[in-house]
Amino acid sequence: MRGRLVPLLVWLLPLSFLAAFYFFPLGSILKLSFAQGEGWLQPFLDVFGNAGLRGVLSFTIWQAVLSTLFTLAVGLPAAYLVARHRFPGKSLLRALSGVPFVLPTLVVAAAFDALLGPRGWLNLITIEVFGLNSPPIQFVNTFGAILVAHVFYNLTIVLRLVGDFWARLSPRIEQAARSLGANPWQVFSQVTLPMILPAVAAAALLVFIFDFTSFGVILVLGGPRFATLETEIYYQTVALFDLPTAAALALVQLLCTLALTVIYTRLSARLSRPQDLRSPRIATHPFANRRTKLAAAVFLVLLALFFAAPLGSLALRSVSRLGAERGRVAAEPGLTLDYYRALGADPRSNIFFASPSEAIQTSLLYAGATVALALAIGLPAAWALTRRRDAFLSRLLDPILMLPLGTSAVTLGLGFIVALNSPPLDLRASPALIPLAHTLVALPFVVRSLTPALRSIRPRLRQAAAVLGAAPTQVLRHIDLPLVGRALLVSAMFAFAISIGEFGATALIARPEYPTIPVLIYRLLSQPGALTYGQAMALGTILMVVTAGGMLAIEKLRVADVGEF
Amino acid sequence: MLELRRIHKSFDGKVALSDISFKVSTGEIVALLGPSGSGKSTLLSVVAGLEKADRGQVRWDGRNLTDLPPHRRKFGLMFQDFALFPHRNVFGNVAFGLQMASSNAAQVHQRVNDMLQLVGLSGLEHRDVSSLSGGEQQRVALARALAPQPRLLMLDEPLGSLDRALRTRLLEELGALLRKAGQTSLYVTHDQEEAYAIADRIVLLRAGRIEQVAAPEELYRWPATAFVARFLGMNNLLPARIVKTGRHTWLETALGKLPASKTRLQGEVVALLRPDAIKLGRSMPVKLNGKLLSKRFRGRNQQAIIMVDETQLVIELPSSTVLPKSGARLSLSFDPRQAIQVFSRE
Repeated sequence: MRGRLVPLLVWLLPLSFLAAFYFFPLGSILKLSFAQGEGWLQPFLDVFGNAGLRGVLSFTIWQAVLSTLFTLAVGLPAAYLVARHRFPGKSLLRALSGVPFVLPTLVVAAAFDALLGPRGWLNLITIEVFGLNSPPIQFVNTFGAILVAHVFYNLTIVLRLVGDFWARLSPRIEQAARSLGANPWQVFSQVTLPMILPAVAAAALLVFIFDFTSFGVILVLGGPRFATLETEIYYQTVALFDLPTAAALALVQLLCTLALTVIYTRLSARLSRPQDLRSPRIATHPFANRRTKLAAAVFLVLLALFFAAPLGSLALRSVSRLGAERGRVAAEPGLTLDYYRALGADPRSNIFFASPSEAIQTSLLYAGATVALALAIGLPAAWALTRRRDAFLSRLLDPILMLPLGTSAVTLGLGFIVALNSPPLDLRASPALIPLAHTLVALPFVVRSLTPALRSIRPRLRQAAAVLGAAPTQVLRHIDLPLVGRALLVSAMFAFAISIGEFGATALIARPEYPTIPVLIYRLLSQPGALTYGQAMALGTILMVVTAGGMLAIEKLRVADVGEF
Repeated sequence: MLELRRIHKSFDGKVALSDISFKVSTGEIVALLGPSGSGKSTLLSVVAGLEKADRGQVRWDGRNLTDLPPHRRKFGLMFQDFALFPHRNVFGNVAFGLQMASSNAAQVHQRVNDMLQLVGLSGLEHRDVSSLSGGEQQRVALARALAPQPRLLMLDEPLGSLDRALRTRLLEELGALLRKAGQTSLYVTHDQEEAYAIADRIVLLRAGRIEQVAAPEELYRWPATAFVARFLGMNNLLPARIVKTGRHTWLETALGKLPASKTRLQGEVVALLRPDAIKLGRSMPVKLNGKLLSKRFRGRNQQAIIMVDETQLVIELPSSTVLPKSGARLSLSFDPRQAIQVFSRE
């Protein structure tokens, strides 16, 4: 009896959390979208019957398809190089590529703005050099900006999922094919490609899901000319207060992403490779000749530049005074910390009712609450997932835990607005709303980083400790805790980074007088004036340093070294 | 002294161990030998206290340990997959058992250093265990098991994953080391050569039961059953019938009527013709004629496969013996008292 009751109780917490803050809000969206007309088809008729919304849907798919293809086109060669070759700076590239993944969309948007925007480095330099009157490079508010930012964002998914999988494939299999008379191209097409295909498919799917539901990038870098389902839901909710239409759009989006998420979880389950103890290092080999070496070097340098340039521009731009602003006449050469000092300015002089320093406090508070909440729910969930005895329960509940990953943040925010503003759960004015939403977004990542660590504590290790004289409490202290401790730290940092950078859901549900850092960056970026721009850059830099630092720490602390998402 | 009394263990109704009783004297090395699935590792788990036997007792020096948890048995176990702690370096792994017993830091340090020196890993204290080679990991596991000075050391296929040359060398070192320390040990292996080389006595298991307990020479010389003979690689097992005429006992086989030693067995039996006791030529009392089918070179010795009528026999010869071409006719002879052993049919 006791053996069955304990896992059930452990499941209860995460499940009731999801029921109250995921399924209930989504159900409310469903109810709202069906409440309008007569019959089940009404919400779909609303969306598909409207030429404008049809256009939004087709653009959403189109940009996601293109973004995914470009990401694969850059990512697959990179994955190959990382998996099969040794080169200096490989671990640096790996760490660098992981940074964008946790960077808030607003930071990425600000970074590209700092590099290629009308007030960005390249435009400023060309204006200066050629004496032009207007910025020559049109990047912000173009389709290209959306694609580039999406590639920047999701490259690491291809690099990790495909690269790690590829690195673990025994090179013996390819050597066997060579010995059977296959030429290099045949080896690739007949042996390697079929073997890595599940990983490529999983990566492509995940990239597609993220591109499909991308919000900040479209809003800030795409500008008003481009609308996807995600930004349209936001627009309908915030600007038009047309909740039924927003709900219908959310429903369409939800159906797409949930279907894709289910396929993704199936695929990634197939990727859980047999524990081949062969170190990935063995599979690497040097380049065949100078030409391939040179080509690889050029590619890798460009790749590193692609990651580093926008982030470097952002940081540099936050300490440079390059435009006229109130009370000053012209630009000043040299570095300045004025923008950082301005962050602490009196809120009453500020048109947003909240000073940046207050936004930082708000964000930290929310992030702390998210970390606590996400761990309190994620730890029991991960623990229950790793118990082999409940394999059936785990198989059933694993995909459910992953569902928030495939649900767009704006839809979650909309769900909160629709569902949690009346009894039984009236949280409209509650400050808890934002940490709750952030916890939902962070939960899949927390569970995904805790489970392999919990699994890595094989019963064998506990047995070995016991035979060596460790009493049960000593086993807990010297074996379980140190191993889980690291993973807990990793999960906590994931939750922290996600919370402090989350924009989609926050943009919908944050109260105007308590903006978080990303919300404030968005407001600052959409204002004219060099000071506000500089403050946006400074805030973006702070956020970048915090999240990137967190990500690098995660890289260092990961126990099982598996590139799971 | 370890004593096992009538141990039974089954998993989901499937018998894993049945009626296991034997003793290991202080300072003795006993090998548990048997094919995979014969229950060797399960038996170690029961002795270590990691698995609970359904029935039977594990006793040490007359004290019943059956209900004592593993961490209070003061036994050491070296796992087949080593089970090194991934979050501790080499030093941390070897020191673990000592730290659990709360020895003082200086003593721990001294003992760990001694152990690492013993297994030849001095200087690797601070290495990550995942960065070690298979052989090094194996030696860390051994040092870790030895460090707390267990009164019984159990080793589960400790050399299983290593290549042959390393295995031979480590086997010798391990044997010398255990003997020098007077370490009472239970050594699990499926490899008869390993068992011969290291053990004072061998317990041969088959499907959870003890088939034979004997010293290595005795086991090789007098396998107790046809299963043991086959497991030890003695191939010439012929179906036979015992015929007793007056004072003489005869075996009716496909090779004809062969003289046999006195036996209590009757009727249908299995006769072993030891491959190492059949000679080329006609110098021995019982003579056979056959045709050389093929030869297998095996390093120090070689095997000749010979067809005698319809029966295939394997004989073992020194490599220096020059054999004719395959297909050639040969004469063989043997002394029945040395060459023939009779087992009951199973």
